[in-house]
Amino acid sequence: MNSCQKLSELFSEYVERSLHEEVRQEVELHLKACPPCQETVERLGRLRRNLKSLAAIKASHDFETVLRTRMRLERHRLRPWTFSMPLFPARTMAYALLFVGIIGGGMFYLRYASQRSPTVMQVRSTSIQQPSITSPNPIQPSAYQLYVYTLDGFTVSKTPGAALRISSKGIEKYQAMQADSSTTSGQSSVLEPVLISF
Amino acid sequence: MAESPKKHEQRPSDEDLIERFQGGDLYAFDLIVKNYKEQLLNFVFRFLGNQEEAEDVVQETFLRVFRNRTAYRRVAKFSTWIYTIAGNLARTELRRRRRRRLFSISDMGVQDKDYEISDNVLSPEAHTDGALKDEIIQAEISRLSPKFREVIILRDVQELSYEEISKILRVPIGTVKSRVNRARLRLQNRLKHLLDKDK
Repeated sequence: MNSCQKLSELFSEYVERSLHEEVRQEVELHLKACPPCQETVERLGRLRRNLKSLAAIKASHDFETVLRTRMRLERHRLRPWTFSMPLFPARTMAYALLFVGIIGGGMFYLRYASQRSPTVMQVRSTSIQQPSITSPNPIQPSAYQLYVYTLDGFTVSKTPGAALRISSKGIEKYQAMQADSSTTSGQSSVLEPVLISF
Repeated sequence: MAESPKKHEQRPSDEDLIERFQGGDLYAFDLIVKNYKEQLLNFVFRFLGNQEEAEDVVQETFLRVFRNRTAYRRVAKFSTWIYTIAGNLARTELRRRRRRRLFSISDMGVQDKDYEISDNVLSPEAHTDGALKDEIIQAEISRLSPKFREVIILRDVQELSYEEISKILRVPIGTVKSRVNRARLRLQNRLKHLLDKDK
């Protein structure tokens, strides 16, 4: 390896002025005697200045918007349940679900469970009349037949189809009318409890 | 005149910001993005030579920081950590691009050989305009092999210290210095026509 090649390994540090003094002097001595190396070193200096002054690249105006979108997608990928409602913390969501559950449960109870209460209600009655069919539809009799159920002469349910569905209102009406009749007759009718179940 | 109290307010260090972010402060992450997006973009753009790809890589870098925030330990400089991530992603992008054959690789080259850009060859005479001069320099940077390219960008464009470059690339300082020197010598040789006009 000739001295030019060997010393060229030090040119960068020479232009950065980071060589030890004695090495720097050695390089300078060579440069004075070698115009091509001198030119190379001068070009290296100019190259550094040019590289330093390269125009800075600006991020596009939607850089951060795109980044935020990607971050949201990232979070969704990792925890899908937090993506749809990022504004609500998990605790708020839990309370909301609990509230909805209580309200929904209450409504379900009122709508269905309370209607089934006659099935466990002991009704004092000696008989439940077999359903009588009224208003038969001549065209579609099976679809429009209305069955009437009576307890001790009181109508407690009118229902289409064959199923026995006695509403709580019907039972209450029956009980009230039964109570009235026993008060007016002066004797309490002792009837065997009949459990209406269906 | 009384000095504004803001003058005495110290800007939080990057390490403070990432620590705050690790503790759940998303605003600290926004500040990290603001502080680093331009310098990372310049680094990656000079490395890949394409702004769209560079932005994609820088965004991916921030996503990695976001995702792996707990992996950062204060023993290392935050800038070293984030530059390492960006550099790795940029190299991956370059390899992907190579697979897509957007670049043609010279017969001899794998690591030490420089790349040939397949499309526009710029005329040596057409460098009167500053932007065009930048383009010529960028084109020559892109012709360097990745390992020379990254060191010269980090050292001469980003002006990082040899020590930090050594940590980012995980190579000894001596290797960094040697690569910087060789990269500069190649560039000055290829840009003779342009640099000699600056005399």
